[in-house]
Amino acid sequence: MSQNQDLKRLAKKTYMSYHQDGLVDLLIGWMIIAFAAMMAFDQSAFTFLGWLPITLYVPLKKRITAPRFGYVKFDSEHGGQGRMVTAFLIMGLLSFFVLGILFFLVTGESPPSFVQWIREYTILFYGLVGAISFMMSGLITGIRRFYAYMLLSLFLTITGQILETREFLPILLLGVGILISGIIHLVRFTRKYPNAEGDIYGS
Amino acid sequence: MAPNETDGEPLQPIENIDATIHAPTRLKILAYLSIVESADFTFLLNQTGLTRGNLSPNLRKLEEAGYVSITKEFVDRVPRTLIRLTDEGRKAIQIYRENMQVVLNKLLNN
Repeated sequence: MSQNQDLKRLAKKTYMSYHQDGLVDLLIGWMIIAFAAMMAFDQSAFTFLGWLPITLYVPLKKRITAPRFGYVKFDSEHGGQGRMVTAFLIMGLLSFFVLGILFFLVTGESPPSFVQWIREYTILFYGLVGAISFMMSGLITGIRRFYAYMLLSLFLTITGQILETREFLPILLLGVGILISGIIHLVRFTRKYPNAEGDIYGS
Repeated sequence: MAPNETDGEPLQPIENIDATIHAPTRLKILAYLSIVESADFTFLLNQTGLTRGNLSPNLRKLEEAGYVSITKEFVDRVPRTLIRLTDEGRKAIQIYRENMQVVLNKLLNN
């Protein structure tokens, strides 16, 4: 049994290394910044721009990560890309579901009392939604820095709520923070794994 | 040889250890291959920390034993050498683990 546990630990460590490239952080940071821009300028087109980079995740993984880290296909028992996709889907669905409810309820003339609460503590509400998304993504993928983003989300939105800043500002700062984290991880990753010269088996 | 196929010799369990798997280098390679569906040479190079000159011959040895399959494929127009653990390789690892357990039990009990 302990041998299986050792292999599971090895698999987890390897899977985590594969996601130390910072790409997911860059995408999430970009999406959050686009959402903040939508709030600031009241232009829904920014939401579309925010989701667009998701189409770049796989191509970027192939272009940046695979040549350096090596091509690997994790089996379903020890990780698998399905976890990341599941995490993205959950975050996306949660965001759409919550924002959809907001759209239909907040604009109503006699909203329920919890909606009144949302109107009064909008920034905090966004922070809670973000924190729950990051927490669930951290649980599913095992990527620990998602828990740090969860705490950052709560910290910035609570601070923004207390200081009564403009609604988009804590969200923008969260997005920028995550983006910077992604850049740092990407630089570290490219230094740790220099680009291999094509297929080098047998050379 | 499976762990229960001994002829009573005290050192027989040690004789049963598969030397192809037992080498630390190859054991490391097989450990990583057992946790993935497939991987290329660069992945094994990075994860095992072996040199190219060390990894290649050990992979060939494992391939000759039938424990891994090595196929050259094009993935997104990039030539990749994909390495996979074969069913025979998985069985061999399982038997190796059982044999090692017998050896360790004998050593600890003695």
